[in-house]
Amino acid sequence: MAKSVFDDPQKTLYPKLPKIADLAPGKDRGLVSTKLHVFKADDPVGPKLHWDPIHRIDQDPWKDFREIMRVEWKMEITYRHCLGKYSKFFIELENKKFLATECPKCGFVWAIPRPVCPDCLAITTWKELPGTGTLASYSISEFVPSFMKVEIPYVLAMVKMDGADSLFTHQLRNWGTDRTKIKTGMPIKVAYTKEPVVHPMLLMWFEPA
Amino acid sequence: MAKEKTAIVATGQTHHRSSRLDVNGIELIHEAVTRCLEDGELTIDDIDAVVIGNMDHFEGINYVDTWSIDGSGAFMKPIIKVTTGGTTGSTVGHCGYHLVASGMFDKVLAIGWEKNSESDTTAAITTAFDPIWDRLVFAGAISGLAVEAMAYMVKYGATEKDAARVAVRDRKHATNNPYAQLRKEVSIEDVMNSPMLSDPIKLLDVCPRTDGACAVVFASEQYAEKICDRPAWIHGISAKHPYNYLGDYDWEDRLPSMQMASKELYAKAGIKEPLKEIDVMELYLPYSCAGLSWIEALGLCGPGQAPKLLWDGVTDMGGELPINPSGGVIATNCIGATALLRISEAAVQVMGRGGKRQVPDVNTALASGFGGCFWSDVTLLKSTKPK
Repeated sequence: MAKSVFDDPQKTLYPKLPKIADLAPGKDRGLVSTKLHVFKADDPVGPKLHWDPIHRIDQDPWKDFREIMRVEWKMEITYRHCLGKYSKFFIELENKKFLATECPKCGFVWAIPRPVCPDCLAITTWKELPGTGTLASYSISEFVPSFMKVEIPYVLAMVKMDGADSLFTHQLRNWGTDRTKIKTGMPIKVAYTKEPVVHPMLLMWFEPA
Repeated sequence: MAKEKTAIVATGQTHHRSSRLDVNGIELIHEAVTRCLEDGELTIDDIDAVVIGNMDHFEGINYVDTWSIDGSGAFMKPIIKVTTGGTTGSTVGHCGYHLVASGMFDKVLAIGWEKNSESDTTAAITTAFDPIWDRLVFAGAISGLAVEAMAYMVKYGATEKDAARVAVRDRKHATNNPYAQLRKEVSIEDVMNSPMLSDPIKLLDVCPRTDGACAVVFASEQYAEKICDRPAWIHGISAKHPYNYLGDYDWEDRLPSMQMASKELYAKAGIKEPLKEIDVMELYLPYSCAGLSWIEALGLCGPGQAPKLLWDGVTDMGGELPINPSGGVIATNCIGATALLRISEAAVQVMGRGGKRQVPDVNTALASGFGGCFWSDVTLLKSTKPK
Protein backbone atom coordinates (compact mmCIF):
# COMPACT_ATOMS: atom_id res chain seq x y z
CA MET A 1 0.00 0.00 0.00
CA ALA A 2 1.43 3.37 -1.04
CA LYS A 3 2.22 5.53 1.95
CA SER A 4 0.85 9.08 1.86
CA VAL A 5 3.58 11.71 1.79
CA PHE A 6 1.60 13.49 4.48
CA ASP A 7 2.35 10.71 6.94
CA ASP A 8 5.85 12.17 7.13
CA PRO A 9 5.84 15.86 8.07
CA GLN A 10 9.49 16.24 7.05
CA LYS A 11 8.93 15.06 3.51
CA THR A 12 7.96 17.61 0.92
CA LEU A 13 5.35 17.12 -1.74
CA TYR A 14 7.46 18.49 -4.50
CA PRO A 15 10.96 18.21 -5.93
CA LYS A 16 13.28 21.09 -5.09
CA LEU A 17 12.15 23.77 -7.53
CA PRO A 18 14.62 26.22 -9.09
CA LYS A 19 14.43 29.86 -8.07
CA ILE A 20 12.36 31.93 -10.45
CA ALA A 21 15.27 34.34 -10.99
CA ASP A 22 17.46 31.47 -12.18
CA LEU A 23 15.11 30.47 -14.95
CA ALA A 24 15.86 31.67 -18.48
CA PRO A 25 12.50 32.57 -20.05
CA GLY A 26 13.21 31.19 -23.54
CA LYS A 27 15.12 28.08 -22.51
CA ASP A 28 13.71 26.81 -19.23
CA ARG A 29 10.16 27.99 -19.61
CA GLY A 30 9.40 26.66 -23.07
CA LEU A 31 6.91 28.56 -25.17
CA VAL A 32 5.01 30.14 -22.27
CA SER A 33 6.99 33.15 -21.03
CA THR A 34 5.12 33.31 -17.71
CA LYS A 35 5.66 29.65 -16.97
CA LEU A 36 7.43 29.10 -13.64
CA HIS A 37 7.67 25.35 -13.38
CA VAL A 38 6.73 22.02 -14.78
CA PHE A 39 7.35 19.27 -12.29
CA LYS A 40 6.04 15.97 -11.02
CA ALA A 41 4.22 16.27 -7.72
CA ASP A 42 3.45 13.63 -5.20
CA ASP A 43 0.02 14.02 -3.67
CA PRO A 44 -1.98 12.99 -0.67
CA VAL A 45 -3.64 9.64 -1.01
CA GLY A 46 -5.79 8.76 1.95
CA PRO A 47 -6.67 5.22 2.97
CA LYS A 48 -9.08 3.51 0.61
CA LEU A 49 -12.38 3.15 2.40
CA HIS A 50 -15.18 0.70 1.77
CA TRP A 51 -17.21 3.79 0.91
CA ASP A 52 -16.08 5.11 -2.45
CA PRO A 53 -18.12 8.03 -3.76
CA ILE A 54 -15.34 9.34 -6.04
CA HIS A 55 -14.86 6.01 -7.84
CA ARG A 56 -11.34 5.44 -6.57
CA ILE A 57 -10.40 2.45 -8.67
CA ASP A 58 -7.10 1.81 -6.94
CA GLN A 59 -4.98 3.15 -4.12
CA ASP A 60 -3.38 5.83 -6.30
CA PRO A 61 -6.24 7.42 -8.22
CA TRP A 62 -4.17 10.39 -9.43
CA LYS A 63 -1.31 8.49 -11.06
CA ASP A 64 -2.14 9.89 -14.52
CA PHE A 65 -2.33 13.48 -13.23
CA ARG A 66 1.07 14.08 -11.70
CA GLU A 67 2.62 16.66 -14.03
CA ILE A 68 2.05 20.15 -12.67
CA MET A 69 2.60 23.50 -14.36
CA ARG A 70 2.62 26.86 -12.62
CA VAL A 71 2.52 30.33 -14.18
CA GLU A 72 2.97 33.86 -12.89
CA TRP A 73 0.39 36.41 -13.98
CA LYS A 74 0.61 39.98 -12.74
CA MET A 75 -2.54 42.10 -12.71
CA GLU A 76 -2.50 45.79 -11.99
CA ILE A 77 -5.71 47.46 -10.93
CA THR A 78 -6.33 51.19 -10.55
CA TYR A 79 -9.06 52.05 -8.08
CA ARG A 80 -10.90 55.37 -7.85
CA HIS A 81 -12.00 55.68 -4.24
CA CYS A 82 -14.60 58.33 -3.41
CA LEU A 83 -14.20 59.84 0.05
CA GLY A 84 -17.83 60.99 0.19
CA LYS A 85 -19.12 63.02 3.13
CA TYR A 86 -15.95 62.76 5.21
CA SER A 87 -13.88 64.47 2.48
CA LYS A 88 -13.96 67.63 4.58
CA PHE A 89 -11.61 66.05 7.10
CA PHE A 90 -8.86 65.86 4.48
CA ILE A 91 -9.70 69.22 2.91
CA GLU A 92 -9.20 70.79 6.36
CA LEU A 93 -6.00 68.82 7.00
CA GLU A 94 -4.50 70.87 4.19
CA ASN A 95 -5.43 73.93 6.30
CA LYS A 96 -3.68 72.30 9.30
CA LYS A 97 -6.96 71.69 11.10
CA PHE A 98 -7.86 68.35 12.70
CA LEU A 99 -11.60 67.67 12.66
CA ALA A 100 -13.77 65.06 14.33
CA THR A 101 -17.52 64.51 14.28
CA GLU A 102 -19.86 64.67 17.26
CA CYS A 103 -23.11 62.76 17.57
CA PRO A 104 -25.97 65.11 18.56
CA LYS A 105 -27.81 62.20 20.21
CA CYS A 106 -25.20 60.39 22.32
CA GLY A 107 -22.52 63.09 22.33
CA PHE A 108 -19.77 60.63 21.30
CA VAL A 109 -16.92 62.32 19.43
CA TRP A 110 -15.58 60.12 16.63
CA ALA A 111 -11.92 60.83 15.89
CA ILE A 112 -12.10 58.91 12.65
CA PRO A 113 -14.95 61.20 11.64
CA ARG A 114 -18.30 59.71 10.65
CA PRO A 115 -21.11 61.51 8.84
CA VAL A 116 -23.39 59.07 10.71
CA CYS A 117 -22.85 57.87 14.29
CA PRO A 118 -22.32 54.08 14.15
CA ASP A 119 -24.06 53.67 17.51
CA CYS A 120 -27.13 55.91 16.99
CA LEU A 121 -27.33 56.22 13.19
CA ALA A 122 -27.82 59.98 13.76
CA ILE A 123 -26.25 62.56 11.45
CA THR A 124 -23.25 64.10 13.21
CA THR A 125 -21.72 67.59 13.26
CA TRP A 126 -18.10 68.60 12.59
CA LYS A 127 -15.96 69.59 15.57
CA GLU A 128 -12.42 70.95 15.45
CA LEU A 129 -10.00 69.31 17.90
CA PRO A 130 -6.68 70.77 19.12
CA GLY A 131 -4.69 68.04 17.34
CA THR A 132 -3.02 66.77 20.51
CA GLY A 133 -3.49 63.54 22.41
CA THR A 134 -1.88 60.62 24.21
CA LEU A 135 -0.49 57.32 22.92
CA ALA A 136 -3.07 54.62 23.76
CA SER A 137 -1.01 51.74 22.36
CA TYR A 138 1.65 51.20 19.74
CA SER A 139 3.92 48.71 18.06
CA ILE A 140 7.37 49.14 16.55
CA SER A 141 7.07 47.25 13.31
CA GLU A 142 10.10 45.67 11.63
CA PHE A 143 7.97 44.41 8.78
CA VAL A 144 5.54 46.29 6.56
CA PRO A 145 3.63 45.26 3.42
CA SER A 146 5.79 45.54 0.32
CA PHE A 147 3.71 48.32 -1.22
CA MET A 148 4.18 50.63 1.77
CA LYS A 149 7.09 52.90 0.97
CA VAL A 150 8.18 53.63 4.53
CA GLU A 151 11.35 53.30 6.53
CA ILE A 152 11.72 50.42 8.96
CA PRO A 153 11.27 50.41 11.92
CA TYR A 154 7.83 51.84 11.44
CA VAL A 155 5.80 52.86 14.50
CA LEU A 156 2.10 52.00 14.49
CA ALA A 157 0.37 54.48 16.78
CA MET A 158 -3.07 54.34 18.33
CA VAL A 159 -3.82 57.80 19.73
CA LYS A 160 -6.53 59.09 22.06
CA MET A 161 -7.04 62.58 20.66
CA ASP A 162 -7.87 65.30 23.18
CA GLY A 163 -11.60 65.99 22.90
CA ALA A 164 -12.36 62.69 21.15
CA ASP A 165 -13.87 59.45 22.46
CA SER A 166 -12.56 56.99 19.87
CA LEU A 167 -8.95 56.42 18.86
CA PHE A 168 -7.10 57.54 15.74
CA THR A 169 -4.62 55.31 13.96
CA HIS A 170 -1.56 56.59 12.15
CA GLN A 171 2.19 56.27 12.14
CA LEU A 172 4.46 57.96 14.67
CA ARG A 173 7.38 59.72 13.02
CA ASN A 174 10.33 61.81 14.26
CA TRP A 175 10.64 59.88 17.52
CA GLY A 176 14.41 60.03 17.39
CA THR A 177 16.60 56.96 17.73
CA ASP A 178 15.85 55.72 21.24
CA ARG A 179 12.94 53.32 20.92
CA THR A 180 12.65 52.91 24.69
CA LYS A 181 11.34 56.49 24.83
CA ILE A 182 8.17 55.42 23.00
CA LYS A 183 5.76 54.66 25.81
CA THR A 184 2.02 54.14 26.24
CA GLY A 185 0.57 57.39 27.66
CA MET A 186 3.16 59.73 26.11
CA PRO A 187 1.87 63.05 24.71
CA ILE A 188 1.38 63.15 20.96
CA LYS A 189 0.61 65.85 18.42
CA VAL A 190 -0.53 65.88 14.83
CA ALA A 191 2.05 67.00 12.25
CA TYR A 192 1.03 68.21 8.81
CA THR A 193 2.92 67.76 5.56
CA LYS A 194 4.45 70.65 3.67
CA GLU A 195 5.23 68.51 0.62
CA PRO A 196 2.68 67.14 -1.87
CA VAL A 197 1.60 63.55 -1.13
CA VAL A 198 0.03 60.72 -3.16
CA HIS A 199 -2.65 59.73 -0.66
CA PRO A 200 -4.87 61.93 1.57
CA MET A 201 -3.91 60.01 4.72
CA LEU A 202 -0.29 61.11 4.20
CA LEU A 203 -1.29 64.75 4.73
CA MET A 204 -0.71 64.11 8.44
CA TRP A 205 1.12 61.87 10.87
CA PHE A 206 1.84 61.77 14.61
CA GLU A 207 4.91 63.07 16.42
CA PRO A 208 5.90 63.17 20.09
CA ALA A 209 4.55 66.44 21.55
CA MET B 1 -34.97 30.69 17.31
CA ALA B 2 -34.03 27.41 15.66
CA LYS B 3 -36.98 25.46 14.25
CA GLU B 4 -34.96 22.30 13.60
CA LYS B 5 -32.44 20.64 15.88
CA THR B 6 -29.22 20.59 13.88
CA ALA B 7 -26.02 18.58 14.13
CA ILE B 8 -22.69 18.25 12.36
CA VAL B 9 -22.59 14.71 10.99
CA ALA B 10 -19.50 14.61 8.79
CA THR B 11 -16.27 16.55 8.38
CA GLY B 12 -13.35 16.53 5.97
CA GLN B 13 -10.20 18.52 5.41
CA THR B 14 -7.22 18.60 3.12
CA HIS B 15 -3.65 17.91 4.10
CA HIS B 16 -2.54 21.50 4.59
CA ARG B 17 0.72 22.92 3.28
CA SER B 18 2.20 26.38 2.71
CA SER B 19 1.78 25.69 -0.99
CA ARG B 20 -0.16 22.83 -2.43
CA LEU B 21 1.41 23.03 -5.88
CA ASP B 22 -0.13 19.70 -6.91
CA VAL B 23 -3.66 21.09 -7.06
CA ASN B 24 -5.58 24.16 -8.18
CA GLY B 25 -8.25 25.70 -5.96
CA ILE B 26 -11.09 23.59 -7.33
CA GLU B 27 -9.11 20.40 -6.75
CA LEU B 28 -8.26 21.55 -3.23
CA ILE B 29 -11.96 22.02 -2.50
CA HIS B 30 -12.68 18.62 -4.07
CA GLU B 31 -10.21 16.94 -1.70
CA ALA B 32 -11.99 18.32 1.40
CA VAL B 33 -15.48 17.65 0.03
CA THR B 34 -14.80 14.02 -0.92
CA ARG B 35 -13.17 13.35 2.47
CA CYS B 36 -16.21 14.88 4.17
CA LEU B 37 -18.60 12.73 2.13
CA GLU B 38 -16.48 9.66 2.87
CA ASP B 39 -16.60 10.50 6.58
CA GLY B 40 -20.40 10.52 6.51
CA GLU B 41 -20.72 7.69 3.98
CA LEU B 42 -22.70 10.09 1.85
CA THR B 43 -22.76 10.84 -1.85
CA ILE B 44 -23.14 14.29 -3.34
CA ASP B 45 -26.75 13.33 -4.19
CA ASP B 46 -27.49 13.37 -0.46
CA ILE B 47 -26.61 17.08 -0.24
CA ASP B 48 -29.49 19.58 -0.55
CA ALA B 49 -27.56 22.87 -0.60
CA VAL B 50 -24.01 24.21 -0.44
CA VAL B 51 -22.42 27.20 1.29
CA ILE B 52 -18.88 28.16 0.31
CA GLY B 53 -16.52 30.88 1.52
CA ASN B 54 -13.06 32.32 0.96
CA MET B 55 -11.46 35.76 0.47
CA ASP B 56 -11.70 36.80 -3.18
CA HIS B 57 -8.46 38.73 -3.31
CA PHE B 58 -6.19 35.89 -2.30
CA GLU B 59 -6.86 33.97 -5.49
CA GLY B 60 -8.27 36.80 -7.59
CA ILE B 61 -11.47 34.90 -8.37
CA ASN B 62 -14.70 36.73 -7.78
CA TYR B 63 -17.21 34.12 -8.78
CA VAL B 64 -16.13 31.32 -6.48
CA ASP B 65 -19.60 29.83 -6.04
CA THR B 66 -19.84 29.20 -9.79
CA TRP B 67 -16.18 28.58 -10.50
CA SER B 68 -15.80 25.91 -7.80
CA ILE B 69 -18.76 23.72 -8.89
CA ASP B 70 -16.51 20.83 -10.02
CA GLY B 71 -14.93 20.72 -6.58
CA SER B 72 -17.92 21.56 -4.38
CA GLY B 73 -20.36 19.26 -6.15
CA ALA B 74 -22.97 22.03 -6.20
CA PHE B 75 -23.98 21.33 -9.82
CA MET B 76 -27.74 21.98 -10.07
CA LYS B 77 -27.96 22.67 -6.32
CA PRO B 78 -28.53 25.91 -4.41
CA ILE B 79 -25.10 27.41 -3.57
CA ILE B 80 -24.22 30.71 -1.95
CA LYS B 81 -20.88 32.30 -1.24
CA VAL B 82 -20.22 34.20 1.98
CA THR B 83 -17.16 36.25 2.81
CA THR B 84 -16.54 38.04 6.10
CA GLY B 85 -12.73 38.22 6.24
CA GLY B 86 -11.10 36.10 8.92
CA THR B 87 -14.49 35.02 10.21
CA THR B 88 -15.42 33.66 6.75
CA GLY B 89 -15.12 30.05 7.92
CA SER B 90 -17.30 30.56 10.99
CA THR B 91 -19.81 32.55 8.94
CA VAL B 92 -19.91 29.66 6.45
CA GLY B 93 -20.55 27.31 9.38
CA HIS B 94 -23.21 29.55 10.89
CA CYS B 95 -24.83 29.91 7.48
CA GLY B 96 -24.95 26.11 7.06
CA TYR B 97 -26.49 25.89 10.52
CA HIS B 98 -29.07 28.58 9.70
CA LEU B 99 -30.12 26.78 6.50
CA VAL B 100 -30.84 23.55 8.39
CA ALA B 101 -32.09 25.03 11.68
CA SER B 102 -34.59 27.18 9.76
CA GLY B 103 -36.15 24.04 8.29
CA MET B 104 -35.28 25.03 4.72
CA PHE B 105 -32.88 22.14 4.00
CA ASP B 106 -32.08 18.79 5.65
CA LYS B 107 -28.45 18.30 4.65
CA VAL B 108 -26.20 21.26 3.92
CA LEU B 109 -22.56 21.09 2.88
CA ALA B 110 -20.46 23.99 4.19
CA ILE B 111 -17.04 24.60 2.61
CA GLY B 112 -14.24 26.99 3.54
CA TRP B 113 -11.04 27.14 1.53
CA GLU B 114 -8.03 29.28 0.66
CA LYS B 115 -5.05 28.93 -1.61
CA ASN B 116 -2.80 31.58 -0.13
CA SER B 117 0.20 30.58 -2.20
CA GLU B 118 -1.44 32.03 -5.31
CA SER B 119 -0.80 35.65 -4.31
CA ASP B 120 0.75 38.07 -1.82
CA THR B 121 -1.23 37.38 1.36
CA THR B 122 -0.43 40.64 3.12
CA ALA B 123 -1.26 42.76 0.08
CA ALA B 124 -4.51 40.84 -0.33
CA ILE B 125 -5.43 41.28 3.35
CA THR B 126 -4.79 44.98 2.94
CA THR B 127 -7.62 45.19 0.40
CA ALA B 128 -9.94 44.27 3.28
CA PHE B 129 -8.98 47.48 5.05
CA ASP B 130 -10.52 50.87 4.36
CA PRO B 131 -8.65 52.37 1.40
CA ILE B 132 -8.45 55.83 2.98
CA TRP B 133 -8.19 55.45 6.75
CA ASP B 134 -6.39 52.17 7.27
CA ARG B 135 -4.43 50.94 4.27
CA LEU B 136 -1.39 53.17 4.41
CA VAL B 137 -1.08 53.28 8.17
CA PHE B 138 -2.31 50.02 9.72
CA ALA B 139 -2.32 47.71 6.73
CA GLY B 140 -1.92 43.94 6.88
CA ALA B 141 -2.72 41.39 9.54
CA ILE B 142 -0.03 42.06 12.13
CA SER B 143 -0.48 45.78 12.86
CA GLY B 144 -3.70 45.64 14.87
CA LEU B 145 -2.67 42.47 16.68
CA ALA B 146 0.69 43.97 17.66
CA VAL B 147 -0.96 47.05 19.14
CA GLU B 148 -3.47 44.86 20.98
CA ALA B 149 -0.71 42.69 22.42
CA MET B 150 1.20 45.78 23.55
CA ALA B 151 -1.90 47.21 25.25
CA TYR B 152 -2.58 43.91 27.08
CA MET B 153 1.02 43.47 28.20
CA VAL B 154 1.33 47.06 29.42
CA LYS B 155 -1.96 46.94 31.32
CA TYR B 156 -1.69 43.46 32.91
CA GLY B 157 2.07 42.96 33.09
CA ALA B 158 2.05 39.85 30.93
CA THR B 159 5.34 39.08 29.19
CA GLU B 160 6.48 37.92 25.77
CA LYS B 161 7.42 34.60 27.40
CA ASP B 162 3.84 34.16 28.61
CA ALA B 163 2.68 34.65 25.04
CA ALA B 164 5.34 32.27 23.71
CA ARG B 165 3.90 29.56 25.98
CA VAL B 166 0.74 29.68 23.82
CA ALA B 167 2.71 29.14 20.60
CA VAL B 168 4.65 26.29 22.22
CA ARG B 169 1.38 24.61 23.25
CA ASP B 170 -0.30 24.90 19.87
CA ARG B 171 2.78 23.74 17.94
CA LYS B 172 3.15 20.75 20.27
CA HIS B 173 -0.50 19.81 19.79
CA ALA B 174 -0.08 20.08 16.01
CA THR B 175 2.33 17.14 16.04
CA ASN B 176 -0.72 14.96 16.79
CA ASN B 177 -2.64 16.26 13.78
CA PRO B 178 -1.78 14.57 10.47
CA TYR B 179 -3.45 17.40 8.53
CA ALA B 180 -1.61 20.36 10.15
CA GLN B 181 0.88 22.42 8.17
CA LEU B 182 3.53 23.06 10.85
CA ARG B 183 4.17 19.82 12.71
CA LYS B 184 7.48 20.56 14.38
CA GLU B 185 7.62 21.42 18.06
CA VAL B 186 9.14 24.74 19.10
CA SER B 187 10.53 25.82 22.48
CA ILE B 188 10.03 29.06 24.41
CA GLU B 189 13.61 29.98 23.39
CA ASP B 190 12.84 29.32 19.72
CA VAL B 191 9.89 31.71 19.89
CA MET B 192 11.81 34.37 21.85
CA ASN B 193 14.76 34.20 19.44
CA SER B 194 12.69 34.29 16.25
CA PRO B 195 12.86 37.50 14.19
CA MET B 196 10.86 40.47 15.46
CA LEU B 197 8.01 41.40 13.13
CA SER B 198 6.17 44.07 15.06
CA ASP B 199 6.90 44.57 18.73
CA PRO B 200 5.99 42.38 20.71
CA ILE B 201 5.09 39.88 17.95
CA LYS B 202 7.84 37.66 16.60
CA LEU B 203 7.81 35.24 13.68
CA LEU B 204 6.95 32.15 15.74
CA ASP B 205 4.17 34.02 17.58
CA VAL B 206 2.06 34.28 14.44
CA CYS B 207 0.14 31.96 12.18
CA PRO B 208 1.54 30.89 8.83
CA ARG B 209 -0.35 31.21 5.56
CA THR B 210 -1.67 27.96 4.22
CA ASP B 211 -3.27 26.25 1.24
CA GLY B 212 -6.17 24.17 2.49
CA ALA B 213 -9.88 23.49 2.59
CA CYS B 214 -12.43 22.17 5.03
CA ALA B 215 -15.94 20.79 4.55
CA VAL B 216 -18.68 20.03 7.05
CA VAL B 217 -22.17 18.55 6.66
CA PHE B 218 -24.99 19.94 8.81
CA ALA B 219 -28.08 17.71 9.09
CA SER B 220 -31.53 18.01 10.60
CA GLU B 221 -32.78 15.80 13.45
CA GLN B 222 -34.51 13.49 10.96
CA TYR B 223 -31.19 12.51 9.35
CA ALA B 224 -28.46 13.28 11.90
CA GLU B 225 -28.38 10.01 13.81
CA LYS B 226 -28.86 7.95 10.65
CA ILE B 227 -25.68 9.46 9.19
CA CYS B 228 -23.58 9.62 12.36
CA ASP B 229 -23.82 7.49 15.49
CA ARG B 230 -22.59 10.37 17.65
CA PRO B 231 -23.43 13.66 15.95
CA ALA B 232 -22.18 16.99 17.25
CA TRP B 233 -25.35 18.91 18.05
CA ILE B 234 -25.31 22.69 17.78
CA HIS B 235 -26.44 24.20 21.07
CA GLY B 236 -25.97 27.81 20.13
CA ILE B 237 -24.06 30.26 18.03
CA SER B 238 -23.28 33.92 18.45
CA ALA B 239 -21.70 36.40 16.07
CA LYS B 240 -20.57 39.87 17.10
CA HIS B 241 -19.29 42.07 14.33
CA PRO B 242 -19.00 45.56 15.81
CA TYR B 243 -17.15 48.57 14.44
CA ASN B 244 -15.19 48.86 11.23
CA TYR B 245 -12.19 51.07 12.03
CA LEU B 246 -9.37 49.96 14.30
CA GLY B 247 -9.63 53.22 16.28
CA ASP B 248 -13.16 52.42 17.42
CA TYR B 249 -12.07 49.24 19.14
CA ASP B 250 -11.55 49.31 22.91
CA TRP B 251 -7.86 48.38 23.16
CA GLU B 252 -7.84 48.59 26.94
CA ASP B 253 -10.37 45.80 27.24
CA ARG B 254 -9.73 42.27 26.03
CA LEU B 255 -11.50 41.55 22.72
CA PRO B 256 -14.92 43.07 23.54
CA SER B 257 -16.58 41.25 20.63
CA MET B 258 -15.52 37.91 22.13
CA GLN B 259 -16.80 38.97 25.54
CA MET B 260 -20.17 39.88 24.03
CA ALA B 261 -20.39 36.76 21.87
CA SER B 262 -19.41 34.27 24.57
CA LYS B 263 -21.68 35.92 27.14
CA GLU B 264 -24.63 35.59 24.77
CA LEU B 265 -23.69 31.99 23.89
CA TYR B 266 -23.31 30.91 27.53
CA ALA B 267 -26.71 32.44 28.34
CA LYS B 268 -28.32 30.56 25.42
CA ALA B 269 -26.72 27.25 26.41
CA GLY B 270 -27.04 27.69 30.18
CA ILE B 271 -23.30 27.63 30.83
CA LYS B 272 -22.23 29.31 34.07
CA GLU B 273 -18.64 28.12 34.56
CA PRO B 274 -17.10 27.67 31.11
CA LEU B 275 -13.77 26.38 32.42
CA LYS B 276 -15.53 23.51 34.21
CA GLU B 277 -18.45 22.87 31.88
CA ILE B 278 -16.66 22.87 28.53
CA ASP B 279 -14.41 19.91 27.72
CA VAL B 280 -12.37 21.26 24.82
CA MET B 281 -12.00 24.47 22.83
CA GLU B 282 -10.87 25.05 19.26
CA LEU B 283 -10.07 28.74 19.17
CA TYR B 284 -9.14 31.00 16.28
CA LEU B 285 -5.95 32.33 17.87
CA PRO B 286 -4.04 33.93 15.00
CA TYR B 287 -1.10 34.83 17.23
CA SER B 288 0.21 33.82 20.61
CA CYS B 289 -0.91 36.71 22.82
CA ALA B 290 -4.51 36.08 21.77
CA GLY B 291 -4.20 32.83 23.70
CA LEU B 292 -3.91 34.98 26.83
CA SER B 293 -6.23 37.95 26.52
CA TRP B 294 -8.94 36.25 24.48
CA ILE B 295 -9.38 33.31 26.87
CA GLU B 296 -10.02 35.98 29.51
CA ALA B 297 -12.63 37.40 27.15
CA LEU B 298 -14.13 33.91 27.02
CA GLY B 299 -14.51 33.99 30.78
CA LEU B 300 -12.03 31.21 31.57
CA CYS B 301 -10.34 33.41 34.17
CA GLY B 302 -10.24 36.99 35.40
CA PRO B 303 -8.37 39.91 33.85
CA GLY B 304 -4.61 39.31 33.75
CA GLN B 305 -4.89 35.72 35.06
CA ALA B 306 -4.44 33.91 31.74
CA PRO B 307 -0.64 33.51 31.96
CA LYS B 308 -0.99 31.47 35.16
CA LEU B 309 -3.61 29.24 33.51
CA LEU B 310 -1.21 28.64 30.62
CA TRP B 311 1.87 27.88 32.73
CA ASP B 312 -0.18 25.55 34.98
CA GLY B 313 -0.93 23.45 31.89
CA VAL B 314 -4.70 23.85 32.28
CA THR B 315 -5.10 24.30 28.51
CA ASP B 316 -2.64 21.57 27.44
CA MET B 317 -3.66 18.08 26.31
CA GLY B 318 -4.44 16.28 29.56
CA GLY B 319 -5.28 19.56 31.31
CA GLU B 320 -8.68 20.60 32.65
CA LEU B 321 -9.67 22.35 29.40
CA PRO B 322 -7.44 21.49 26.43
CA ILE B 323 -7.33 24.28 23.86
CA ASN B 324 -6.56 23.59 20.19
CA PRO B 325 -5.83 19.84 20.13
CA SER B 326 -5.46 20.30 16.36
CA GLY B 327 -2.60 22.76 16.77
CA GLY B 328 -4.90 25.64 15.95
CA VAL B 329 -4.26 28.59 13.69
CA ILE B 330 -0.59 28.97 14.66
CA ALA B 331 0.00 25.61 12.95
CA THR B 332 -2.43 25.95 10.02
CA ASN B 333 -4.08 29.01 8.53
CA CYS B 334 -5.91 28.54 5.24
CA ILE B 335 -7.85 31.74 5.84
CA GLY B 336 -11.35 31.04 4.43
CA ALA B 337 -11.15 27.55 5.96
CA THR B 338 -9.51 28.52 9.25
CA ALA B 339 -12.62 29.29 11.30
CA LEU B 340 -14.58 26.40 9.73
CA LEU B 341 -11.70 24.13 10.77
CA ARG B 342 -12.30 25.26 14.34
CA ILE B 343 -15.98 24.19 14.10
CA SER B 344 -15.00 21.01 12.28
CA GLU B 345 -12.29 20.13 14.82
CA ALA B 346 -14.67 20.82 17.72
CA ALA B 347 -17.19 18.48 16.03
CA VAL B 348 -14.48 15.84 15.51
CA GLN B 349 -13.80 15.98 19.26
CA VAL B 350 -17.50 15.51 20.12
CA MET B 351 -17.84 12.71 17.55
CA GLY B 352 -14.76 10.99 19.04
CA ARG B 353 -12.96 10.79 15.69
CA GLY B 354 -9.83 12.74 16.64
CA GLY B 355 -7.32 9.87 16.59
CA LYS B 356 -4.06 10.98 18.22
CA ARG B 357 -5.46 14.45 18.87
CA GLN B 358 -8.64 13.19 20.57
CA VAL B 359 -9.41 14.55 24.04
CA PRO B 360 -11.07 11.79 26.10
CA ASP B 361 -14.80 11.98 26.87
CA VAL B 362 -15.77 15.19 25.13
CA ASN B 363 -19.40 16.12 25.62
CA THR B 364 -19.17 19.87 25.16
CA ALA B 365 -16.90 21.76 22.77
CA LEU B 366 -16.59 25.41 21.84
CA ALA B 367 -15.26 26.79 18.56
CA SER B 368 -14.43 30.42 17.81
CA GLY B 369 -13.82 32.52 14.74
CA PHE B 370 -11.98 35.81 14.50
CA GLY B 371 -11.59 38.40 11.80
CA GLY B 372 -12.72 41.71 10.40
CA CYS B 373 -12.06 44.57 12.77
CA PHE B 374 -11.61 42.33 15.80
CA TRP B 375 -14.85 40.44 15.23
CA SER B 376 -15.81 37.23 17.01
CA ASP B 377 -18.03 34.26 16.24
CA VAL B 378 -18.61 31.38 18.66
CA THR B 379 -20.29 27.99 18.29
CA LEU B 380 -21.18 25.51 21.03
CA LEU B 381 -21.41 21.79 20.22
CA LYS B 382 -22.58 18.94 22.45
CA SER B 383 -22.99 15.20 22.20
CA THR B 384 -26.54 15.49 23.53
CA LYS B 385 -29.53 16.79 21.59
CA PRO B 386 -30.70 20.31 22.41
CA LYS B 387 -33.99 20.49 24.30
